[in-house]
Amino acid sequence: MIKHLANILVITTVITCALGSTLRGTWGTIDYTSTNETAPTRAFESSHERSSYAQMRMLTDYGRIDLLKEWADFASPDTAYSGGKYYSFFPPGVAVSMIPFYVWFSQWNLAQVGSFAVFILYTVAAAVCVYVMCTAVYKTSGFAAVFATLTAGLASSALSYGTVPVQHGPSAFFIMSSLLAAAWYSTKRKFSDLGAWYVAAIYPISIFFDYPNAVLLFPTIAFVGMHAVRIHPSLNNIKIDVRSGIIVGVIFGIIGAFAHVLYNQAVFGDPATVAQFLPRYTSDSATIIDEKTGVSNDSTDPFGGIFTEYRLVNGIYTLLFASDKGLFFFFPVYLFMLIGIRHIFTQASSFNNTMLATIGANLLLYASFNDPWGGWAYGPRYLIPTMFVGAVLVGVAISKIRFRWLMLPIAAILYSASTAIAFIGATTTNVVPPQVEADYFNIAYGVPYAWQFVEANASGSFVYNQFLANQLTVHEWYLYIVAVSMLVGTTTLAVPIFSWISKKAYDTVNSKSSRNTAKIKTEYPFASRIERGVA
Amino acid sequence: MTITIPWGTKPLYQIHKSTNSLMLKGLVIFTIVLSIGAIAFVYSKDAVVAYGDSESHLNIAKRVVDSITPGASQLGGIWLPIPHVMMLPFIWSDTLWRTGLAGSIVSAICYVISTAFLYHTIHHITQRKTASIIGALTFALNPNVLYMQATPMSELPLIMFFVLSTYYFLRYIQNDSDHFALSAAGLFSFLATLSRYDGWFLVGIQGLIIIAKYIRSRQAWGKMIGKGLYFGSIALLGVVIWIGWCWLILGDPLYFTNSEFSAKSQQEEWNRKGQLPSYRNLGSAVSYYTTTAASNAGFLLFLVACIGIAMLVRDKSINNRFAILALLLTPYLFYILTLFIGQSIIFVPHITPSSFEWRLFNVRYGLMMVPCVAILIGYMWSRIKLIHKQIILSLALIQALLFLVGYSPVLTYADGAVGLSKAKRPDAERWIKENYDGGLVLMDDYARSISIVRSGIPMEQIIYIGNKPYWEESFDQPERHARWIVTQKDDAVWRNIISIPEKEARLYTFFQKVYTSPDTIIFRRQENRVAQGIGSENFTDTFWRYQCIDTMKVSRDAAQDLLTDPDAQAVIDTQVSIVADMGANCVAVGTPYDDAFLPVLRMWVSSARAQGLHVWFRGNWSAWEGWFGAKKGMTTQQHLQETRAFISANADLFLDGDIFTGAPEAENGGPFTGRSTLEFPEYRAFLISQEQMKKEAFRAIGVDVVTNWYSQNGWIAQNMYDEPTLEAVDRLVTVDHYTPTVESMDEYLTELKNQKKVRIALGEFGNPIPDLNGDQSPKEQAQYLQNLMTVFYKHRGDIEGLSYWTLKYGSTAIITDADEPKPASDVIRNWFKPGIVKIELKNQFGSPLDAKEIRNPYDDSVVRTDYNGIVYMRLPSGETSLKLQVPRYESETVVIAVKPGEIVNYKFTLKSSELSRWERFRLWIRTLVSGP
Repeated sequence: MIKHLANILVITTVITCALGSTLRGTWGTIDYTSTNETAPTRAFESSHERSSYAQMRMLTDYGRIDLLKEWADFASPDTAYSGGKYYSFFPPGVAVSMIPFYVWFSQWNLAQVGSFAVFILYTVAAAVCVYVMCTAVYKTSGFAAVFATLTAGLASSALSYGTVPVQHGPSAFFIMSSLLAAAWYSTKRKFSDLGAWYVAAIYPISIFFDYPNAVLLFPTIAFVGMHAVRIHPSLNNIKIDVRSGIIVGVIFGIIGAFAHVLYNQAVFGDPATVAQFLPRYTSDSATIIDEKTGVSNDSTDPFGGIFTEYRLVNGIYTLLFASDKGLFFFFPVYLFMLIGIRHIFTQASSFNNTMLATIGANLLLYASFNDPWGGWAYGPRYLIPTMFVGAVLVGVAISKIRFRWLMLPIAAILYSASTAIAFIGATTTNVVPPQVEADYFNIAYGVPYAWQFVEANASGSFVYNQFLANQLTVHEWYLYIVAVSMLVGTTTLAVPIFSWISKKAYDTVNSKSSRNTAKIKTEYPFASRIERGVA
Repeated sequence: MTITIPWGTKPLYQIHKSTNSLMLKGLVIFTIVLSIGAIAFVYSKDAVVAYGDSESHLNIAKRVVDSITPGASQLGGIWLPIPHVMMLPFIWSDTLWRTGLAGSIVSAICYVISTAFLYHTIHHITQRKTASIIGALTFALNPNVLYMQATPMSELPLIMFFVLSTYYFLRYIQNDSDHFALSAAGLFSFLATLSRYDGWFLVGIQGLIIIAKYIRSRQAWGKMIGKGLYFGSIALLGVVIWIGWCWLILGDPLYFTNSEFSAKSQQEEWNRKGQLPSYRNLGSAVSYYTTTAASNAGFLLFLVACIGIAMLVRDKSINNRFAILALLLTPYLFYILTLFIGQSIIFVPHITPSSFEWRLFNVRYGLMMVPCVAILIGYMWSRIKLIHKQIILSLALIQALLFLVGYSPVLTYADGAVGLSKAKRPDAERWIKENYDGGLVLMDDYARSISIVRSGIPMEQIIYIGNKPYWEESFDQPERHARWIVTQKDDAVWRNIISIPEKEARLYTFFQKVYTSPDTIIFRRQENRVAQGIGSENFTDTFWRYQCIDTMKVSRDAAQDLLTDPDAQAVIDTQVSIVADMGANCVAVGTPYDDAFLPVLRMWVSSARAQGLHVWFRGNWSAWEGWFGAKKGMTTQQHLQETRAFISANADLFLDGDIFTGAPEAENGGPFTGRSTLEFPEYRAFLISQEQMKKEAFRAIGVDVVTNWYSQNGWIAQNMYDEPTLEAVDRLVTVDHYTPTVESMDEYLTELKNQKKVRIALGEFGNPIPDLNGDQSPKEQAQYLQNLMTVFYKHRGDIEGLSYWTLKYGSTAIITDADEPKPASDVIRNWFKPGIVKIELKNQFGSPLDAKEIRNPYDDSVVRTDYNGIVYMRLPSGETSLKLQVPRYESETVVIAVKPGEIVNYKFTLKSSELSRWERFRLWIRTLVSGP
């Protein structure tokens, strides 16, 4: 246990430092007049950040949910308009979660930086969940779990989006923690009902952060439901066993749903209306760049709609393989996720199915979306939940893989490449055009686009701009932090490689088979109970 | 917490213990209910005939039984015939045809049978009832299948034959002594080859499987040849029949691929546009068909089936697994091949570039893979653990949910709703539905200008490319059969009529454009124009172009009196109004051209204008014949000069279409007085000079007056003209001729026409001339005149015009001195103001008698009824007796009353004189139902 706590402490520190080093912002409380901060690489380069921040400022400074006109212009085009009022286009979860740190950090004149920093916590917490799931549920080795966690934190889009007020970090945390809670619930151990309660409570809360979480968390909800109810048919009757603990969970769920209804009724005057159903407001001021992709959502398009199967093929290509957004193109370490999928697929269990269903739901949902690129974004930001769940499977793959002497070095190389790419975006900008628009404007896209900012010595990092800009160029600073991240990851993988070499040498000396002794086993009674529960 | 629910003694739990037969019965009942529900739903959404092709399938079947030219040849040579033949028992009903339900019933039956035999097929492979049910339900519940089984498309018939053939073929390859199975497989493959071309490929694959089965053992080669020939002789018969059919009926054994209507021809057009992405691109062909098949089956279930393929390949417990796989993948291979070679095209929105003109087309081809997916899922179900079954069920539920919420489109329906396969609903369709009032409609059905089923037009009223000879004849004479013409830019009708100037001119002669939209033009025939066209080349409203009545006895003989008569204008108006009332379109005025008589002439002309009549200026210079005391001796030169001066000075007297004769019966005056009429050269020279002078003079004043009417007596006309003179007068000979008998007039006209090859104007005719005809009572005058007019009617094709001499005074007058009409005036009126009679002939069963001859009592000419049993005849007004003599029908004499200038309708029912037994039976039934 101490070893795991130590591991968690190390990875928490590493990921927090990495995220902290790329945290965007500046001194003070930014408001709508700070147009400098809306430039590329700056804290409010994207309307996504501006909209949630504006909503938070309204709640904090004015005690209202709707936006004043000036703030609506600032948040535009992620602004909705209804009944003479302006609203943030996003649900209030992100804004609300910023409030404590905004208030707390304002005493050091770091209100904006503090409000952004809260998202580091979500990302780190989600990363810790990856570690726990690897070790507790899948019984992977510690080094594999550490590597999986580093992959999620440092070699994915989570790095770019873990320091800005967007829904991805919180969503990843809710999904990962719910999966863990669900796994705990399925063990039927003492206090395992708490897992169901947690899932039931977190489900409506997560929807306050992002509406698609209703879909992404659904496999977990279904898993909990399956383990709450058992049906035993017989010749004369049918017996239904219901675990009483689930009732509290259902109550939590009902309360959460009621909270949504109340919120929508209070804000929009209709229980079923959400901001994203309202007409979008675009600022008259032309100074704000619309970084949306401009993908047609024309109702006259017979193949249009927000989510539709028609986009599935191209969407899957875009999200997984395309050079401007594809997961495997940006973060090739996730190729190991495929090995992990194959592994858990062959060892079918309802929890494994839930994991796969979560990834499937995430991929299919956004591959069908009319903007699978996520607007102007760095990497496939909509797949951030998949990157966390997938990181677990990367860990499983690293732990169970054959030909380690070959595969682990490959994993190290792919991890290094992924980290290097992830830090380019995190260091510079998240506002990167998809190829379809870049071709139209005749500009670069993807990684080369972000690299232009490194070469132009432009970074939005608070740490760099305030403390290091006079000592280092952005290029140098980027190399240092990437080098450190690579070192940590590859060192992690070096442990089993050295272990394998030493065992090999030992086996050779003792004429024993190397195949059996190469495996590193870590016993967790917790895990075996999960399997029993699943069965 | 445990909840216990009792559920009686026959729980669902026992279902899996049911017999195979019980399971099957339940499945069939379930699919029947499902099918009816789906048809009702699709029908309520007006989507049964959403596809353009679905209407074409219905129309092909309908034409076999209901068409201008019904029969098997209407099955055509592009689409294979079995789906249409299967519709025949239902297509009789107009309701089932128009709603599309005639085709839906066929598809639904195929759907139920397909589901049942999918069950059998899976059970044959797996020996598991539950797996068979799961597989069959995968097919039966597929929304694309449910939609297509509600339409008249040919996919479900093919799927049925494909499944049936596959089932029996699998039975055969498991047990090659099962001859029944091989025969049945051959039979259903035979039917598949006559359903869609996919079936041809199926037979090819089956042939290869037979070869593969025996080829490894040399001892079995004889068996291979025997079985292969047996199977092939049944299965390939369809291919032979179809090629033979195309050869015999359409003249090209490969008509289905060489014709301009073939898929290949259409694909060439797409290729020219650069929008045939899979042509010679295997990757694209695979991705297009895979995506289409996946979307039809449901992406998630297709994914499961792909895993099923991998399992089947590795499953050594299944005998002949590769043969099974080859059979199941037949549609997949077929479509990839046809996409690759450019024989077919698919646009599926998932991957079709948005720059393409269309992004959804022919996606129903993917439906052919649904049975394959169903069999593979059924197979998997029999081989996997409970947890995997849960996964499959979950995926199936999610897929169902995705279909329900609209995330996954029902692609086949979408193609019919918004894709290129969609049947057009042009506004013209609505218009013609509201305005169609019977008659044949000429249209290019291939171009689908309008929907026939929606337009309300009976199929037997349509002329399309398959109606020979109506289609071809309509291009030469659009008015001949069609009452309506519907065309759109560049369709066959447009290309063959509108884009050819002379045919377009003919179209506009007989038809009126009644509807125009950016897409479609509709023409409607003008019935009076058609009727007028019968027997006359110039399509005027009268039998003769000029129908005149001469007023010489008043306009010339009384000219001097009129000069001083204060009521002269009234007198003249009375005469002219009587002329107009008799239906004449011109009045012949004999007032001299001398200046002194000019006021009187002007009165006649102004009165004629007021009555809308042309004027035949038939005066002369008084000095020519010595009228009113003028001194004779006018030379031809003087005549020419003064006539030219007269025309120039009195341009206001003339209007286009008037006739001007300078010297009627010139032989009676001028230098020709008292001289031998055999001195023709001078006479001819005068005629030619007159013609040249008058043409120049009228050209100078800009009025188009007819100048070549030179009245002569009959003998001169017959003997004077030589070829140059005839050419000078445009081969029109004007005779003032009276004969002792009607027959001699007939003979004279026939002789003159044949001798001189000329057209004739009758400058004067009338009776009685006492010297020739003796005295005639008014009635006798009328009867003689009637007979005379009948002669002129008989010669109407050669007679340019005629002028009755004379209106008043004299023995031939048709009104009394007191301006009272004599009976002869009615005769003139009847002939000058004809009417149109529309006769519709039917037999006692109400069927139109087409192509039946009706004899015109006036000239014994024959006209034929058209397809609707209708004939138009233009006849003189009054009562006419017609003898209706039609072979095999009892002849009947009818009296019809023709009204001047109107179309009167007569419908006659002729009784058959030679009833067949069948007709007698029909008549008996009819009598029973509606009384004698």
